[in-house]
Amino acid sequence: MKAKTKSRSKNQKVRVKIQKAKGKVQKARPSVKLSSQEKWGRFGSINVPKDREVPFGAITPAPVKQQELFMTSNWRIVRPVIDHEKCTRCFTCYISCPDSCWSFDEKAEKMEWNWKFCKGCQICINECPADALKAVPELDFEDGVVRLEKPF
Amino acid sequence: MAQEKLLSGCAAAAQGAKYAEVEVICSFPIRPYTAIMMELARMVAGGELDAEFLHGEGEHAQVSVVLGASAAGARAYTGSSGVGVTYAFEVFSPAAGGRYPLQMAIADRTLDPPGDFGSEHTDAMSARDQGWLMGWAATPQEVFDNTLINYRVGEDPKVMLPQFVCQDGYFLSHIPDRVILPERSQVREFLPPYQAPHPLSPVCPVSHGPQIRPDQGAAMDAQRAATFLDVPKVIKEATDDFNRIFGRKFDPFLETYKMEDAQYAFFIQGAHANTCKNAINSLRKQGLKVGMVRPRWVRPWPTVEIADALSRVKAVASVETSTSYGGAMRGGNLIHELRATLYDLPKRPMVTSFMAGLGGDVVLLEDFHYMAKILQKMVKDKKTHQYVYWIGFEEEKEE
Repeated sequence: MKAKTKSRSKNQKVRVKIQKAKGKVQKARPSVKLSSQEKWGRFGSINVPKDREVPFGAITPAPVKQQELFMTSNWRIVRPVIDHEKCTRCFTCYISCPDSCWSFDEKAEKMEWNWKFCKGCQICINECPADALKAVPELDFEDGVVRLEKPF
Repeated sequence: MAQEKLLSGCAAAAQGAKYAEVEVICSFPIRPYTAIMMELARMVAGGELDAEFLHGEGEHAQVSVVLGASAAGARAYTGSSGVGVTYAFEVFSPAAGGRYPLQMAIADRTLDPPGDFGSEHTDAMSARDQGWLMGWAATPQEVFDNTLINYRVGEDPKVMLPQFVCQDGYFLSHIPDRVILPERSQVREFLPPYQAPHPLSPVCPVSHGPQIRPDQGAAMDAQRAATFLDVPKVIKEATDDFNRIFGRKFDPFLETYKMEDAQYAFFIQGAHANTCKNAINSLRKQGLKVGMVRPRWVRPWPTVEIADALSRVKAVASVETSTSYGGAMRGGNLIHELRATLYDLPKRPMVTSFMAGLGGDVVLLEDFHYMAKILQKMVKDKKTHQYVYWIGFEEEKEE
């Protein structure tokens, strides 16, 4: 029993020391423990400014057609150019494109190419049964992505 | 009616999943965790549990499947061991970053090479920095309880993180002990059904796991780190609730044994703690004041609680059951964090580590006696002679 009291008073000394080290010497009994908030406060605070916040788990509303925030055609060196006269609207390009860059413009009744996501892989050119597609170097165009000073 | 059963760690984990009413389970065999899936498969086939039971073609697929299920709003459950854990590694970070509160049971196993299958904590420990919650159980009862507590903490709206619920392979996974199975109503009070904040649904389409730009990466890391600052509070709340509803006496973060007047302490995780307690009893009969601290969580690491618990001892033996080759102390993983934890104490205890329980080795009672002897020598000489002792593989020295 005596030993217990002895070790207790020792504990008190240690606790006071801890509190002194933390600059919080209190009159109260040394057995008063710091609230967990004060303790966890030692891990610093994290404050992400609103304009840099990422949505929870980076979960975003699904885009209906395309995600404008992430254009991915930066590294294209050739692009497919369509000859609408030769095109039979067979949709082979639409089916074969891995990035869904071909769509059908119903008003103009023409196939439409999406420059924002086409990487110039030329699968559509290979697959086109009517030979309506041609690979043209990106440098031949004034708006060619290879001419961009700052990639998007 | 609450009932008592004799269950192994694996069976207890399966029961935990059953009582948590998991909705999607994905399996792939690897011992020793396989017994969990065997139990669950039996339950699903027998109509005991209404869940979708899928076979992955590997562990990578297993975690991917439950990630998808969790994204769709299901309470999902999977598990693995050893090299299975490391094969699934790629999916760990996206599961935490995407905030899917799925659960993976790990009955730990030595990593290859070459194909040792005994218990060792290295497999799960190497995944500790992937943003998951993680902790080891020491008894089948704790495996069962941790399954429920982890789902509760992980699914908390403030947390939303996946969880590794670890147990020692064989020592815990295959040795039966008494487990109290609660009533359904108790579990439902403790663990309400999972409500995903943004489930995949055709009614309200969302994109999960899109690419983010490099300038968003740091912000996202900071947000995840901020979440971890809140986790201890949630763990405390959940454990208090658990103790109240199920009548248990868990400390949220640590199990301490005879620490009130201890001068020496063992720091140990997992089922070897049971042997350690026996060793402490016999060491105390010899008049040595020894205690034990066992962390119930590795992530988040209970820094403050461990520092508090060990602030009064003279020397600590960190019993390593995992390897960190070439690490700061050239031994295991725990000592790094333990030393960092104790650094700010006004009077730091001496800390050394013992490599034991590797590759399926049993940590013997006499090993603990040996450790205690070294601790005494350290205190007597006022010197930490060595950072690490490989038990059984040391050069013979003349005393």
